[in-house]
Amino acid sequence: MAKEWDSFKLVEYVKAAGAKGRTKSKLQEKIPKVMRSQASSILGELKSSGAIRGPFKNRSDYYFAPQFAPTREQAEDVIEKPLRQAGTRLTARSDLEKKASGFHRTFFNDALASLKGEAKIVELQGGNKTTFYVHRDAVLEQLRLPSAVEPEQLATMPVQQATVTLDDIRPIYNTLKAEQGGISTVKIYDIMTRLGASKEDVHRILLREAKSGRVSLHPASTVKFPSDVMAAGIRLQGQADLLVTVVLKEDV
Amino acid sequence: MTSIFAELEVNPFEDDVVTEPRRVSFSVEGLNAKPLERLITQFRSLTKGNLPRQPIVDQKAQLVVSPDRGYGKSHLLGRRFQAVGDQATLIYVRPFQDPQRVWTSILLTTVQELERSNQDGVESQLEAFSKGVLAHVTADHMSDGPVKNQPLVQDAVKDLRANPLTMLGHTPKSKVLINWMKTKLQDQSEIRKLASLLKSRHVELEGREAAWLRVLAGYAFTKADGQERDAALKWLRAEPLEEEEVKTLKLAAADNNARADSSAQEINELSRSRLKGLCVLASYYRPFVFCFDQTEFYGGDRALVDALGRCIWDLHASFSNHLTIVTANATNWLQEVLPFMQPAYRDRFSAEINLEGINVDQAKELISKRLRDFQVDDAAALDFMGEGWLDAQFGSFAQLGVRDLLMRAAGRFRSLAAPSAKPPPRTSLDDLYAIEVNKIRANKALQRYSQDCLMWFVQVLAEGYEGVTVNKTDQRYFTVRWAWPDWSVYFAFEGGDHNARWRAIARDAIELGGPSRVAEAIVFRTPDLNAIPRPTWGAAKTVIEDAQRKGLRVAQLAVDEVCQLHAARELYSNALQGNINYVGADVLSWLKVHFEPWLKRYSGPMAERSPSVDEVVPIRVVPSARSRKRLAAPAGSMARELTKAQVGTVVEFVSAKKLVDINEVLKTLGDDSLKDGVLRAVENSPNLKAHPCPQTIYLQWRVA
Repeated sequence: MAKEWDSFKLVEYVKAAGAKGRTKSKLQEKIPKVMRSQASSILGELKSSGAIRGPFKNRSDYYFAPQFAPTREQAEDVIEKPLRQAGTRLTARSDLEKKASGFHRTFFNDALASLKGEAKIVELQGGNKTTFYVHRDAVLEQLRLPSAVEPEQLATMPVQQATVTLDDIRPIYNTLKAEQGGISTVKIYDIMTRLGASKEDVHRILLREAKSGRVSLHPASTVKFPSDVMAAGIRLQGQADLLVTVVLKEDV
Repeated sequence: MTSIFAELEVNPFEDDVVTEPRRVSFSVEGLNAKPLERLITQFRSLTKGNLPRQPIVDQKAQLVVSPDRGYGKSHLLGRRFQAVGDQATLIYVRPFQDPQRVWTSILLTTVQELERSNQDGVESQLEAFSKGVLAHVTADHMSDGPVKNQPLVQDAVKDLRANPLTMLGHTPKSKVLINWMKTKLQDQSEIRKLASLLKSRHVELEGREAAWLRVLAGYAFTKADGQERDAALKWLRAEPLEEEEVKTLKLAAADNNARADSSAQEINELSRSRLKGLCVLASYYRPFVFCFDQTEFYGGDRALVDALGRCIWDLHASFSNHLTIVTANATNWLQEVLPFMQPAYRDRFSAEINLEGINVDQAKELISKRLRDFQVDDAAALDFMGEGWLDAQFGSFAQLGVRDLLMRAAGRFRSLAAPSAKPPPRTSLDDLYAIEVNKIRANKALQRYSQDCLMWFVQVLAEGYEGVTVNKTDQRYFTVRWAWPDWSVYFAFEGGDHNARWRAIARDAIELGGPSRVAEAIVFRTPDLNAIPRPTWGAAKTVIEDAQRKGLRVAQLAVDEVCQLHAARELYSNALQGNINYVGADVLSWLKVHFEPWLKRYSGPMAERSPSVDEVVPIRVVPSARSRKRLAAPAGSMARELTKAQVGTVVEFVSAKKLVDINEVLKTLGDDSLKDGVLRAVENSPNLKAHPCPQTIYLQWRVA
């Protein structure tokens, strides 16, 4: 039986559990006895091939199929949503921590840092060393500033049916790359023009994918591009340089 | 935590540009591992099989591309040097300036790089290369001789091939072997045999096989400051040899094929031939790795771009046993280089090797290491990155450019060291320039004669000065002219010291000046070159002195001046590469103002110049003609090597203080004039590192 056993069965078993995931011990049980001593290396191989993700700690070690695995983005939602609802009322860090239960707790610190880095939430210090948070929208409203959509927000806006996907961009990117002699740093302007898509749509997908590491975005610090090329760039808050070029990773 | 950082005199993150790939000492695990692996794999294709190998050609130049500035191009070259340093001859090529003299420039750089130290303990790369080649040629000869079946001979062949540097080292056994080889090289019939052995391995040296072997032996088997070495280096640099130098190397007269009256084009062609010879000889030993860095420098000039393309094309088509690496910023390459390069040249580059950014985990490693180097403990390092600071730097991105990260870390360091201080203004060009001067001062190899830098000064920095027109001439030596309606200054770029060539230069200078003295002719010399005229010259000295009265100036630069000039070009290159927060045009404008006293000094007739404007360059006579000694004590400086005891004092003092101003070290030594000596000691110690700052240089103790 051991000879016929395929680790793919393990992947299917994890997948079937969906967002609940499977504990390490459950997975070990699915491995034939004669091979159980190699359980760690089997799981390690599946993990490095990208077939499963984990382990995520929540009392036990859990594994997930990639599409069901918990992410930092989910943890960000868990933090951002109540803060938005709270308006100008301050929320203590400890209260936010309570909301990030289960697997989200793993990502809590990262998610908080990311939201702060993107200026989506504002951190405030209380007199008794308590840290509070408030959503940027509430601050902008109080300051009577227009709540224009920032590029960073574009990345987190829900994807609508008509918007651009990375699959739309990739063939155009590959053509542009080939046209410039195989150099993979391509101007966002060129992609936008060839694709005929709006700047917001292209920015949204590029920022989203930059988060996951599938693309990288860059300024062009050492050349002067024409104004239309610069106008197609992404401006991040607090950064002087526009991001005007993109590299799509082949192996991610 | 703040107090720990406040106490440090140097910001550990401000060193964010690699000026010298050879100095790279730390790499973050996994960062740009794939690009490095690709380069190493490509290199391995040159080292397959046992030595000697058939010449290997058809290696495309490996194009390393950075998506923006600060992704580690030069750092990658440094890691490449570390990874294969004992298997390759490494040549780091800075941008050339004259499209007509590309090979002259590359050969000069190559020979200077060959003289740099070697990873496996022998004195220089050239010593390793020449001994390696000669050992394998000798082994070939022994294997082909009448006693080839003798076990003793077979053992010697085996040893020579396995340990060429040890076999030709400094042991009594080596001495016997070296003497035996010298005898063979002096015997006409034997040298013919050796030459034919080279040919049998397809090592074609345009009929100069015997000369190459004698020149390599002249370098390998003589003292570091010997006349033979000097002559061998000259021959390798495609300079003409004096008669006594030909005799010293035991060359045939025809082998002295660099003519005194050669034109720049002819010298360029001969330089190409020498470089090709070195490469083909690498069949017997280590392949060459040529690294063309800072290519943003070529961007503004179509002729330079074309010359770069032609050079890479030629290297690919005609030179064997080498791997050429070219680095570039993607946008510069796409906007300023590729459009002006012929398709045939473009095809000589490999598919791009793309550099990657640093991720959070790698960032942690890098920041921790930088702080550890300054004796900051792990807890403080964790605090430095804590409170979400590091994650916030990455924000929406999985990766950042390494220099971006270092710049942010430098800012974080400043805010922790002085929390109430306002953010500092942009570093001024005065300070950036001063840092660059101190960097050159701290690195002796960067102070050597560079015709490219001198050409850049007279062509680029002079542009726009006092209504001057800078143009190229069709003169044999004086190839650049500063022209005003009634006055001209001509410049020649000659690093050699052949008396016939200098006589010709002197004659041309007199002719250019004419009877009414409407022009002056300048040749720059740097402290590492022999003084002109040489003390032993007779007739040539008279001709040169006569020319000096009629407008020839042999402008001897002091070490400080060389540092300033080289720093200027480096600063400009840094701007073009995006290494500093200024654009090239701004830096150039600043440099033109800064160098106005220089332009004034060299633009007017000598007679009109006051001593304050021009120190008038008396002809300096360096007492010794020995290159090594010259390097140790360059003309125009008081540079002295430290004694062993002084080196010990420096090491002890810095190890106790951990980070200390060089002026404190000099106080301890009781002699302020030992600055360059101290810097040389720092260069030679794996535990010491120099941190050039605008006003001073800090010395740091590091655990090697």
